[in-house]
Amino acid sequence: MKWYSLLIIFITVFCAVQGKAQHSWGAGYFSSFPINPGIQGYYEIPLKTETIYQGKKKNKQLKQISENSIRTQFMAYYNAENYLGLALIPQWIFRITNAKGYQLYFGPGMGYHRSFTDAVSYVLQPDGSFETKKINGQNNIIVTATVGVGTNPTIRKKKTGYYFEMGGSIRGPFNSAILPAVYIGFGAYKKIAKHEK
Amino acid sequence: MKSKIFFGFLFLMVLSSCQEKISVGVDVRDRFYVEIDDAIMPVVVKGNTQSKTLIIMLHGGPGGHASIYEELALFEILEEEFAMVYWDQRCSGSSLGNCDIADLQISDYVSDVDHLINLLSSQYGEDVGFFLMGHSWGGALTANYIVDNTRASNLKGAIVVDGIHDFTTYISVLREMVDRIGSAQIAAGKNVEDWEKHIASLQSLDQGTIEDVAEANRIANQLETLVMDSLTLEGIDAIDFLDYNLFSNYDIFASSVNTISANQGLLDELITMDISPQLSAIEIPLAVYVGKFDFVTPVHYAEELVTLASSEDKFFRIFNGSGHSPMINEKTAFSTEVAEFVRKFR
Repeated sequence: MKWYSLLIIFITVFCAVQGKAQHSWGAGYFSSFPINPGIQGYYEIPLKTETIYQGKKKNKQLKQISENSIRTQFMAYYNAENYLGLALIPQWIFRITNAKGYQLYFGPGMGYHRSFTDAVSYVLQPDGSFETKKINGQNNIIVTATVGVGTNPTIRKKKTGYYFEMGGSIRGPFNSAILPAVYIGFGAYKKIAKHEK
Repeated sequence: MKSKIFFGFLFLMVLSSCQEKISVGVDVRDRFYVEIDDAIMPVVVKGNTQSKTLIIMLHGGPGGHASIYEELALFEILEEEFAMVYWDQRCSGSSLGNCDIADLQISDYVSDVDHLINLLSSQYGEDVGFFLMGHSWGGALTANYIVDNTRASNLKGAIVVDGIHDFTTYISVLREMVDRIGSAQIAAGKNVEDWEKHIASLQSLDQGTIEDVAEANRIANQLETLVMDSLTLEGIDAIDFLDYNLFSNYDIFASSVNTISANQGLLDELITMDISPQLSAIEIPLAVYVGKFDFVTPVHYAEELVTLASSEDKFFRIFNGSGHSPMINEKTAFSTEVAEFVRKFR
């Protein structure tokens, strides 16, 4: 049984917060249905942040932070029988974080996907014989949509947190069509904060 | 250090995906592709290649996939004694390449079988004996292949499992079967509303329209669930199915894309197919198996095939606890039956 492959999914994402710019990065485990073990990483740059407070001046308290940002995501995953896949996907992310540091984020992305198939193919020749060649894989455009919840590593005071995200993608051209896929990502992070002096 | 681990991981992934090998042994698994025109089709040869007997599995569909038979170990008994060839046909399963549905024809698939046999023969030896085993659409494909005696001479024998050779009578044949079994079920008070609904639906369908034949086939696929208490389920359970769909090498998305393409490309030709007049040309050893409760390709077609074929050696069996897939319902009995046939004519 291959059920055990689900149990070994364990993701650790390390996030760094760098000064006022609040750039963040992450790296961790990535999988999709069907299970394609792999790794992912991202670098995220906030573009515009809006902070909403509640209460009067003396008792002013943070209520909500909404943020637009650009995330560039890299994925490398392995389909045991078929190929190694690499993807580089710029994404727009809209994120809402409440006062306790819990966040909801979502956004679309579009990028480049490349599959590497290291397999032998026997190619039929006009005379009926076969010529051996390697199959190299395919180049695709990939379009994604992601939604996630969890704690916001750049705002939360705690040094640890978690996230859960899911999404879908379409990739094309795949043969003469478009190949859909869904994926999940989840895990824990540990914050490595570098404050500006 | 971190970058070394990262690139090391990538290297291991690439290295472990290398699949280049042709093996002779009692427990082999070779995987490679065969590229014909624009179709790049995966082939897995699994089992005992030392036996010099290869059984080429033609999967269902059109647009199905061969991995289901391998991943669910449906033929593990056969793999011990012979080698199974699991081949994803063009525009099917995990096949790659440009699937041009406008030009897709049954003759392309028949021709692909020829080329596959030539390739396997060149790789595993000229002394290898081949059997074709076609299930459902694969059964139709097998029949199309063996009515040509030149092609059939490449084979030691053929096994047609729940196949069909004549779609022009499909609705009337299905209607007769559903009336007969449905009436008995209604009399026994089983799923009365469902049976009455399906019987009425089939009465309203007309063989002359493609949409109606497709609708009849859709209904037929549902009917097996109404006779579950009459079926044996030896081969797999729900957990196996979930495991196969989510945690195996089967790519559910790629396969779905291909299934839609193949169905679109072949539907018109398939539902007007009738090779009954050519069946008398079949001379090679032939085994025809069918599940008693197969509504998708009713028993009538199996009986007709075995009657019309001219083969001196022809065998017929109805699996009484099976529906459209006796290799799932009665896995051991089915494999035993196939093994006896292959052993006799290898």
